[in-house]
Amino acid sequence: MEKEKVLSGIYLKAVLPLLEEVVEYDETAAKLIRKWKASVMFHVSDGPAVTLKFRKGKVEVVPGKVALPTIAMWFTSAEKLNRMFAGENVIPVVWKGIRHVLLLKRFTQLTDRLNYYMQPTEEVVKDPKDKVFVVKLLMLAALRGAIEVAENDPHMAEIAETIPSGTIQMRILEGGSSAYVIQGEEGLSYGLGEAPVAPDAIMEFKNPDVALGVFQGTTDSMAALGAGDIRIRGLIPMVDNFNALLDGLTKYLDQ
Amino acid sequence: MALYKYDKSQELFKRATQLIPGGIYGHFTPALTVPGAFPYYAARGEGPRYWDVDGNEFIDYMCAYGPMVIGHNNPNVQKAVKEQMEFGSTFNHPGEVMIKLAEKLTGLIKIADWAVFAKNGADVCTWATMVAREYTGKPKILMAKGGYHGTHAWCTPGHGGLIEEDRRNIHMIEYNNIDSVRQMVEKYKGQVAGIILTPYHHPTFVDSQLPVDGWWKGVREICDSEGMLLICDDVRAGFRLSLGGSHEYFGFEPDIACYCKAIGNGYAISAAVGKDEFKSAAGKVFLTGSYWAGALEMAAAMATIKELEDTDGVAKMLSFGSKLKEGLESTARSHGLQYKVTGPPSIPFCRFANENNLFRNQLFCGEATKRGAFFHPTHNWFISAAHTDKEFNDTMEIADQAFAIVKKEFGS
Repeated sequence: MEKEKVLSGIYLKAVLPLLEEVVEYDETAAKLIRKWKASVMFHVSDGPAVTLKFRKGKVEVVPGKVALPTIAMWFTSAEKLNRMFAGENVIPVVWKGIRHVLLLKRFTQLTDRLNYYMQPTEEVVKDPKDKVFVVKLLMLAALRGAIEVAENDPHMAEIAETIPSGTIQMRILEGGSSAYVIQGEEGLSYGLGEAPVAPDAIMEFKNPDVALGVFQGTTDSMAALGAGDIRIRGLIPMVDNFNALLDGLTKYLDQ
Repeated sequence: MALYKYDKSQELFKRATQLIPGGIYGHFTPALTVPGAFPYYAARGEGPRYWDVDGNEFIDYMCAYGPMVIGHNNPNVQKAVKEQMEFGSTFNHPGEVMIKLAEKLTGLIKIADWAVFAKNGADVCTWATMVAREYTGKPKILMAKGGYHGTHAWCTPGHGGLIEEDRRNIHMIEYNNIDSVRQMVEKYKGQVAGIILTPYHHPTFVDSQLPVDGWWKGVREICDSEGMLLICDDVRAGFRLSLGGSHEYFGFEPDIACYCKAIGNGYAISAAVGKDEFKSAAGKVFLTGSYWAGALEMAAAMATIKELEDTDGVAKMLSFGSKLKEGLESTARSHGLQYKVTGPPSIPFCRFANENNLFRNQLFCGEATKRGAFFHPTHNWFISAAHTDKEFNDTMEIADQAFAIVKKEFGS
């Protein structure tokens, strides 16, 4: 089913790459992978694939397959991968590297750390530093996920085409992160930090709390706009139509 | 000049967000203006001015996004409504006033052999497309990219709640590009019931486009040769360019024309008029609503149109708009800024010529609004027949200050 395939792309290309940030920020995660020299490949039959490369205490998530991964996990359907990411007990076909059982176990511990920040308890976001990190992860997942649905869902692709060319700068004020989205000739792309060119639209969240509420879906963003908690300037249709992609992403994640 | 504050507006907005999705939704949403620089709630209006809940007074350049064509609280309109109110408003039947209003519109608008009434522009635009389908037996409707014909699923600019099927038979062409119409008609040969277009192109966020030479002649020819209906959505511009309809102003002849904003001076009424040839099909497309035969609104419409006729209201709006355009552009020039006004004078779209992203315009309009001239930064403005030299002079004083702030912030 096409929807399952799009969702599997979201998990593999928007969520899984967040491990790069997690191992840089989280000591527990960093300790887990400190000595790893391995590559773990995820592959959905007739669908997306990514490979996680662990080297020198870091992880790099690259799109596509590699020739000789340490472990290769093959999912016979996108649905199976999606069920695993949703927390169900799904066993993929480990067609290479089955003997690295310990690594597989530790990999699960690593994804638990990702989950710790992606679905934070109230306790986690009480810590201001952790909260800023959580919001950064959610923002990154949102940007990558929105681009993924724009590229693979035909209806979302139509919406993406209506985003005027240019750059949206997103900022989370009072210590939060910033990121940008570029609508260019080859479609949408994103980056962290300040855009390399003057933006055509700016979206600013008053503080990490406001951004957290919006990304977790607990804040009415239109109400937040009116109250001044979110500020949009410039070419509003850019932000408006990109937000429609974010709404589309939410529908995939909620299904 | 003291800058306005909006404490009460903010307080009400906070209350509203507890119960109303988004606090304020639709085109009134604060998201389209500059939150903090604009009021959210109105209290009263008089002529070309209105007051918000904080007591701030504004020269009104949006006129409720169009409806207030002869100014707020117009005494003649209010009198007509009060007189009708004494007899009641909504009955089991329409009142005689409905026939009088149909007679009035068919008398004013040359192509109009019949008239029907509803409440909003979207009601009559959607209905007109159904009449086109009923008449031709064909499914497809063409519309222009960026065109706005209301909030119904086939044309809403929003994304929420839509399904793929909503627009299966709606196809987009480029306004002012006759080849794009030809190509679409060829692509769906024999399947197109009609084309719905505004008399000139007035999308939000970008310049208005007046029809280029040959555009309307070409559209008319295609409609005639292909057996398609030409529907003019004159909801936004109607009665601000000509009492005969905007098609008369631009010199073309639609088959059906839709009106709303300027008919009732704030009372909820819309209308569609059409040629005799389509009257039978019009009668077959079910058209009704709980309040669509409301007598108060029809009485208001009769009084509004009479006032426009008696005072030469359309000419007043066009004249004031031309003066405003010249005034804003020259005041901007005096600051070394480039301000650009597009669209007809009575419905101007204003922005800085050296930007497309509207940053300067948002600052300019916000600063003007905080000083009492309600300028919208992303939507076309509306002039009323009640705007006078006093409003013009006050506006220029405000604009001068707001341009100075833009100059300081952006330099050019």
